[in-house]
Amino acid sequence: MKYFLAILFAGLTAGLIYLLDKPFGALPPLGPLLSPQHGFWQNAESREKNYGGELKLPGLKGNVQVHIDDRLVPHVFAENDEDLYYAQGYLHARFRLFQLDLQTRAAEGRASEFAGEKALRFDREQRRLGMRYAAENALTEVEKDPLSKQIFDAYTQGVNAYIDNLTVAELPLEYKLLGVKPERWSNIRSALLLKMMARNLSSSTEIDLGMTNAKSVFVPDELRMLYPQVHDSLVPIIPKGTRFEDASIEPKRPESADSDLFGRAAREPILSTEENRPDPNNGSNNWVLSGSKTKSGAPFLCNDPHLELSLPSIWYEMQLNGPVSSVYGVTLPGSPFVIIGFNDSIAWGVTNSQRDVKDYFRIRFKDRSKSEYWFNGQWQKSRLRIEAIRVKGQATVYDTVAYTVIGPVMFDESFGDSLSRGENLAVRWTGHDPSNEAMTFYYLNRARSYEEYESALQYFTCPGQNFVFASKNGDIAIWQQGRFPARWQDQGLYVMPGEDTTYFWQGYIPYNENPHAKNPDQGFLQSANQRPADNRYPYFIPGRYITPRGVTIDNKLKAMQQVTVQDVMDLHNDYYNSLAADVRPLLLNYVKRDSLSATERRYLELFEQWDLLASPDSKGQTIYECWFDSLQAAIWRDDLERVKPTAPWPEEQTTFEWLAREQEDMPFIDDRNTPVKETLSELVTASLKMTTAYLLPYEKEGRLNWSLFKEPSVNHLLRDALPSFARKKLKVGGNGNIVNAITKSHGPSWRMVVHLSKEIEAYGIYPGGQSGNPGSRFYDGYVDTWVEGKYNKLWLMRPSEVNQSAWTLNLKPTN
Amino acid sequence: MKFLISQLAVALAGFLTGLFFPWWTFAVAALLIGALMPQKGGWNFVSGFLGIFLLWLGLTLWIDSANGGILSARMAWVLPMKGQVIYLHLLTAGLGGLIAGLASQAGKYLRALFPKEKY
Repeated sequence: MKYFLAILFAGLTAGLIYLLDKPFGALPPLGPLLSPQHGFWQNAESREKNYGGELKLPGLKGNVQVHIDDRLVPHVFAENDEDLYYAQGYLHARFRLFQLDLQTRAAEGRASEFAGEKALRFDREQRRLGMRYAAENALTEVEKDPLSKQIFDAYTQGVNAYIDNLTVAELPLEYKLLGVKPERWSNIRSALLLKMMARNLSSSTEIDLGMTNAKSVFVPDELRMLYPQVHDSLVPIIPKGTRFEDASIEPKRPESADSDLFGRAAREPILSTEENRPDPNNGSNNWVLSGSKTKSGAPFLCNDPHLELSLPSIWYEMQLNGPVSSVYGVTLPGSPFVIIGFNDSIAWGVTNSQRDVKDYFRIRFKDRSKSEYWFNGQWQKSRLRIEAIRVKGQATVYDTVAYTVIGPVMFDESFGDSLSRGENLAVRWTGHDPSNEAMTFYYLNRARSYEEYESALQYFTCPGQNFVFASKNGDIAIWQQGRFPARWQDQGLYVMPGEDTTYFWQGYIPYNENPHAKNPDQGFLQSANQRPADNRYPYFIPGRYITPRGVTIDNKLKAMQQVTVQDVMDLHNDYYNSLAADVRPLLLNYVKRDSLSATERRYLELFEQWDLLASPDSKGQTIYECWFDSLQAAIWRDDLERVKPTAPWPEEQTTFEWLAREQEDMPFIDDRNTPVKETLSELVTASLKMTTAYLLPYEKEGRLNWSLFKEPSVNHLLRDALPSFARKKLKVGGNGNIVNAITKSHGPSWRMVVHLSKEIEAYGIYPGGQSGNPGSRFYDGYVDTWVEGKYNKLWLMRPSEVNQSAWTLNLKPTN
Repeated sequence: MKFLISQLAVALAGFLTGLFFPWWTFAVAALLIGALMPQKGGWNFVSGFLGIFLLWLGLTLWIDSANGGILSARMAWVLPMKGQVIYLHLLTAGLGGLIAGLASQAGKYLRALFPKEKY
């Protein structure tokens, strides 16, 4: 009996501990998670927490003071640049470690280590696109230059100084929930982060596979109409009428191009598809006003990059004060430097160029080993890269990717379609080319003049960006910067033959021929992901351009005089739907009122009386979006369905312009699937009826208002896994085509206004908070400010003001 | 008296082990205290349970109030509690208490296996 009881109780104790130390179904191990001195309770930060103090860190050269203001923005004062970026790495890790780790593992195709099997397809795509290969090429370039190597090394040391001293209790909450451990930092991971940005901004700006499929059904003329290069309403980045120099490179169109691209054999559709394409709304606005337009006589610079909205945010605010420079703005956790910001002389901002810098080439392998491919009349050896993908909770998955002179063969019989017909597609992407984009930011952070800004841009290869610039001495400018292939007409729109160099890019547009403008007569410059230049630009520049926002911004800025800070803030938050303004008369003209029911007529009236603002309470905006969507579907679906597997949908702008030009004569209006011939009027009326039927249930739930209909939210990085870490049902309007470009969980990820007056005045806001810890009062504090369209004042702290900070963290070298 | 001292000892030892050692080491402390201070019947279980239950409940309430309830409100949805924060406190303290109670009782029985040696 004695023995029995001793064994029973000792066994129960040990057994219970054992069980609680293991994951429980979908739940994490409860013991370590719940323990008040180890688990999630330790992530519940006191509201009175002191973020200051003194730390001794290995590898620092001198003392660094981090003055932290009451919004938890660190203002770093370092005696030398290495310590500056060391401290930046340390602070990124301290406040955003899980984000650093997750984003760079995902970039490399290692999301399955966190998420298990459901992330496997994503990981394979990342690896087959050659993300690690791209980062390795970038790293070689970074480490070639002693200056950038020194900075990346210091940043890495800073991140690791934090990771190495982390206790179990201090582990970010997400690690405790997922039961994984942080991984030490290295320079390649910073390179991976920058390549992830490159992928997000330059790998969905092509639709080559879909366009190739579209060729199987549509003739070249139709293709040009469905997917036009220049919209009628385009207001380009470079003001219309600007004269461009003749192209210094004239790429030669191969004589066989017509038959190779449009002949019968070339019209086989591509069965492979990319499943995890970056959001096509990854765009942005920026604009600059010269003193002639502003009340103060000093320039303004404004920027709002549109990205996935997440908690923690992609951005982290900082001031970096080194021996010769002082810069403020947003940083990307995982990378040194300020990415968008200002110093006491200049300000800069970026939008995406939307240019197509990624093409696909058909490859013929000798056999299924993929070890040789036919090129230039002989079998060439390919480099086989074996990818080992670790998957949480199961065995490692292996994948072999063949590398050719063109690039990695992303799609082959092991990946892509299941009915493979030997469809091997190699990717040529400028993201793979050696480059050191970070140095652009190093120099921009320190730039004092237009000349220094222009010179900083030379390092920027991919993703192509529109760098807007303003300086205190009155200059405004914009450059579309990046390494863009000089293409012949139609080159790269479709998958091309890859058995020799005939279809290769023949050169790159020299940087000084990239679209740019400085101090124009109109007194302002703007970019909003539209085509950078009109037809006079001497190169063929395909891309996924977005026209409407640029039109709205241009109209508004033209009309503005004596501009104040409040005026440009209002423009950031503007809800005017300029495409709807164009579309509405058309819809009203063609709708058959006498065939509408009472409810349908009521919806029509709501639409008719709508103020054309996509504001949160707008019912007209909801009706418009659904109506125009259904009309587009009614026009295109029957035609696009003929393309297998899929073809890209024409843009809203394209549909509208076509209707505006040809009205009821527009081809494609007739529904092929019915014997009768439909008219535009019938489609417009039928789509209003469908809209009403679709929206009525929403209206009954009280959700006809735009923000209640679309339910915008800012999700945690792990999205649906942690809904209680998100901010949902935000009361904001907007849409991708509207200046305030908020879609469901995407939009202005940072709004910044810089007034380049004698004493620089700047404002900024992002929908998140400085701390990545869901247990911190700084986790989501800016979300409400952002929803209200308000800003924080940005404080470029001077050495004389440091005593006004809330906390001071002194970093000292260990002896 | 012995009950109260034992309970306090488990709480104190539980707190100290929590500062330096893995999460489950309070069970070792509770076991040793059970062995050093055996009590009649199931009282070791009760004192061990209450020692950690009250310690952990005190800690979580204190942490939660300093935090303003930000994280507990979120975590009470991550664990299937429909946002009821009180269950989060009770689950934490209850599981800790249960382990400590069992360990303490086990300590008493283990000691009984080794009666003092006599000449």
